[in-house]
Amino acid sequence: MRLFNFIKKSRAAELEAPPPPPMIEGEGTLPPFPELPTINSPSSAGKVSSSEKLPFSQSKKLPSFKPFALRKVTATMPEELPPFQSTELPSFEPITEQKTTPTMPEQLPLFPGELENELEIIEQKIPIRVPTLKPQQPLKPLEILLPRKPSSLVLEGEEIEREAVKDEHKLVHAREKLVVVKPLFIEGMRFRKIIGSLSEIHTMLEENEEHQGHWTLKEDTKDTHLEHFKTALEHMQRKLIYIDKALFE
Amino acid sequence: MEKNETMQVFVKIDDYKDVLDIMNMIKNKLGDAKNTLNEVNRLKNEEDAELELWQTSLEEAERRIMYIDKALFEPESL
Repeated sequence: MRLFNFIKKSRAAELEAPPPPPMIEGEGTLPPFPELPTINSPSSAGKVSSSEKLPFSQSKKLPSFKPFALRKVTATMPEELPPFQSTELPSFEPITEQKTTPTMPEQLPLFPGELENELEIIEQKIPIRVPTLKPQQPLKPLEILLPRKPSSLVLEGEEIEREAVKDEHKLVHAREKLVVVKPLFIEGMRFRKIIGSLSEIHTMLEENEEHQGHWTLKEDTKDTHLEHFKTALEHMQRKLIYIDKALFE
Repeated sequence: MEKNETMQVFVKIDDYKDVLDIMNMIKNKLGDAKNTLNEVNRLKNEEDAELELWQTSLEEAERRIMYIDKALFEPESL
């Protein structure tokens, strides 16, 4: 590193020195510092020289204020007071506390042991069978309702069908003439099954509606295709007629 | 606990007659729906038969047109 020092020196000697900066006014001829008062002297603590007095203390004077005098206020009552406008308040009845005497319930709550006995009693009370329903009027014979064919034409299948219809008609008539005399009860499990079946039927009906929607859509598509087919057939027919005319006429 | 499980519970039905009427009505509607479905099935079968006929007649027409085409533009092939 020192090998190149001679190059640095030679370059520094070749370079010209920059001109000195201009002189600032007053530089070098500053006024002497004023004499500062000594800290412990009495003149510096209390008195102020006339040359150091503030200017506004001589020119402006503060206005003089008079002290406030308290005014005596005497309240005088008028001889006749204005009439009081009284509004009649609604009369309230005095609220009297109603003394309620605790009464013993007719039936005390049951203890767990007694509850089981009570359940047994209830179980016995529940009707085991559904109450019978009485028809209002006696049923008419169904032979009148169903027209009979000649015996020669009656087949075995028809006979079975007739029997089935007869039974159904009997049921329907019995239902029409029903009069509910007593309250009807259904077994809990059976009721639950009925509710389940109803729910399933509801779901099935919804599915059927969906299928119907699909079917309608397909029918619409089919109609469109049929229209296209009809148009194409008509077009072909016209062309064939043209060819026929061109060839044979 | 076993008693509670085996105990029968009954549910009271207030409008039993109405329920029966509604059930009857539903049965009638079901019968109607069955009839409609049978009718639709019958129509569909007829449609299928018609479609078969259409297909046959179209094939016949195509065959004849092909023949005419050949007769007109390729007489030597006949």
